[in-house]
Amino acid sequence: MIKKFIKKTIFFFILTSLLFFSINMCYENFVLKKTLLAKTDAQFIDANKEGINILFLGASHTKRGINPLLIPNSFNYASADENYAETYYKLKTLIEKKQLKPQIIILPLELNSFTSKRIERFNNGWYWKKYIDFQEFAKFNPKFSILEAEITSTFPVLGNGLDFLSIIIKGKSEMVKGHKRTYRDFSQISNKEQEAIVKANSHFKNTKLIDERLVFYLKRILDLAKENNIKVLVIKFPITEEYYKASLRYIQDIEKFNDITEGIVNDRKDVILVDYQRLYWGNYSLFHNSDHLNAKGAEEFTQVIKKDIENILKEKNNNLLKRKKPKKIIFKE
Amino acid sequence: MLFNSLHFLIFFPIVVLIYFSIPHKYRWILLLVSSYYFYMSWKAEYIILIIISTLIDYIVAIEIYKSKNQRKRKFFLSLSILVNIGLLFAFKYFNFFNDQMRLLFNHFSLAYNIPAFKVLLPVGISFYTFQTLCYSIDVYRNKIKPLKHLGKFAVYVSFFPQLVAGPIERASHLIPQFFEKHNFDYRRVVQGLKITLWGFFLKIVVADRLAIIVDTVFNNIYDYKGFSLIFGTYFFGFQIYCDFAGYSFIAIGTAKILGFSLINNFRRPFLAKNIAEFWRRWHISLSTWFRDYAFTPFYLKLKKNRIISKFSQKMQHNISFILSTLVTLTLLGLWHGANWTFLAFGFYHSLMISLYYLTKKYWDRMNKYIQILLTFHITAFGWILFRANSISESFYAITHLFTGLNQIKDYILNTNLSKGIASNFLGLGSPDKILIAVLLIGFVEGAHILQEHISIEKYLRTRPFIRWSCYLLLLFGILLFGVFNKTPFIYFQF
Repeated sequence: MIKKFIKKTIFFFILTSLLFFSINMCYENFVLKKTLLAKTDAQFIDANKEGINILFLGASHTKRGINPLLIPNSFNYASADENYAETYYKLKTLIEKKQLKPQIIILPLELNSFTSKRIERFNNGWYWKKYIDFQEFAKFNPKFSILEAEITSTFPVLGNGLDFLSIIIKGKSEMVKGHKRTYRDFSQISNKEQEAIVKANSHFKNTKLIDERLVFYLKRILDLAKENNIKVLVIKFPITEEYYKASLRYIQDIEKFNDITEGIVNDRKDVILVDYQRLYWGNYSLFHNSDHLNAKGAEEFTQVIKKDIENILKEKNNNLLKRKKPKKIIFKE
Repeated sequence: MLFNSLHFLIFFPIVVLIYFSIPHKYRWILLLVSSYYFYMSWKAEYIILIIISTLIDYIVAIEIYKSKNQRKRKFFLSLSILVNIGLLFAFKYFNFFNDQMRLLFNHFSLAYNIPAFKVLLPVGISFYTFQTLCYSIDVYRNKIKPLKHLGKFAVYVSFFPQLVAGPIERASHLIPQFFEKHNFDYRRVVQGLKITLWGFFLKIVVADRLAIIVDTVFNNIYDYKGFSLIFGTYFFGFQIYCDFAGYSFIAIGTAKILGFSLINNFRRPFLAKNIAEFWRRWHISLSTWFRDYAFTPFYLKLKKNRIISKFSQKMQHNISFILSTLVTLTLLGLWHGANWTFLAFGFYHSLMISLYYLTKKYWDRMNKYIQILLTFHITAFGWILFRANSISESFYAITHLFTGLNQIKDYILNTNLSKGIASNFLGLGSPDKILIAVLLIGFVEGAHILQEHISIEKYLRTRPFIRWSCYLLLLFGILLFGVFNKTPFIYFQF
């Protein structure tokens, strides 16, 4: 009886394994290669041939909000949901293994940049295993399981079968130099407040607002940049008033919150922080949703950022960067 | 340890392998060690509570059995009840009652200095205390003899497949199985694997997918109204079923692999034709526990009550029945957790059952499908009380269920797929995710309807191709569409 069981188990195991490996292979070839992450990497290789001096990093705000076509020798290497830890490992790999030496990197500093949620989830292991040293990462994240990360990164199809739908349903977004262009117009949404509340809930509910691990990784990014003589511009991306107000339901003491989060950056004399959160308040047609710019918004905003970058780079030429960090952050309305 | 974790996927095959490799007389040791390990991998120190409960009921049962003196027997039974309910009260209900007392004292501006008991709720405490309690009561009622083998009794209390969320097993059913020799039985093992697979599918694929939508609504309830709340409530009904039934199936399946038969905890509850039948199909081990150890004694006591016995036989029955139902179901609600919402949930169900019995002759005349539909909606309404985080939240949800119903119209008018505007359906999530959730519910309930009419097991037995296709469908359903974020089972908190 045991023999029969073992025989059938082996047969079942071989059959399912073969099927599973085939599906996983299909997933890697037909789904993953079409993801924004894979496309970004491919576009990076092309852009790098021409040289990259200005590198935009971060998460979806950067991804949707910066159009590098408008800034020569720049590339948008952000990815949705990316946290500072992932950005750190990515930058480290680019500098150490790919010998990339940009003059300046641009990082986001958002209201939800430091929430525990961001570091406690680990998605797209297949992509991040190229950058992240799991052993080292686990040291700073006791809940991170190396074994699980290895399994999910080796078999990315696990739990992601719905992604096969992307072969049938084509997304309406396009990508240029790592920038995701979307054409949704937030001004056409009737219940903006409701959408902003849902967004804020998903960002801030049941999570620590400032997770020390993310603070630690942001500092590591800044240290890494300093070691490699890379200038850093940190920006707070434009958001809608509705999202800002919805966020305040969770961030009750915004002054204190800003003091802490901006303090991490303001402590560094060589880092510039610019706050654009209120830049487009009331101008809904520039937004994709309550906290992201659309393609039109990205074009406008990139022009603004371009000037900032030019100023910073000019300051370097005139040896003006040694000036002290302004006490008050620049507040553009 | 969670069933839906990598840890369990490694742990269980090792236990099975050793279990069938060692002689029968040593197997209880393996089961005890593995059960304690299973529990301790969550919070090691809380094993002491299981050991206390085990030792007390082991000794108490022997003393009850030995004693011929009724007062002494009652004393030992009371001791068992006191210890088990005491543990339950201390860890589960103390802070709730303490908070209520504090509120009451504050209301009258009186000082109240009893501090909160800051401790984590031990996982499964409501299950194993009820299991040991029914053992002592059964010995007291002379239904069973006490078990002399302390080790096997300890396994009965802590048997890992059903330790943390049931089914609550009766001693008369489970204990004899520890004395039976279970050889490796191919058919039984395969059947156990199939049940386990179905349990994993319900939990990882259906319940955890629905949880994403349900949590969005119920964790931010004041931001929702109308159809969003209605969908959230429907989805929660199916989520809790798939979550808990999923757990029960995994428990039953894994126990079966080892040779044990556990009580079936669910019997397609959403196909119940009335609310009383719903409770005969939902969490059967708990509802029968309350029937045998709370409802029946209370009912008999009431019937003998001096005041009630003055009424006619029919009235005596009606009054005793309704009062017993009110008390038992309210207690059953409170069993779930220390919150007014659970109390309200139990009270609501007791009212519905009483109402059903009073209107039975009219209800039973209705079309079968209307009965099922109405029963489903009565239970769905109860889920609002169950899932809401507070009474005020449940009140908000109930009063806003039918407001702003033009949301759907607005949604359709605002939807412009070519511009990618329809990214969020009524604030619940992307439309494709909602569609998948609906399809999954359809799949599960479709299987239930089919099972209600034919025996799927019997049907598949003679059709190997379809049978294997079903295995693969479930397995790949889990692998491809499962949510692997180790979402704990809802009933772990109870």
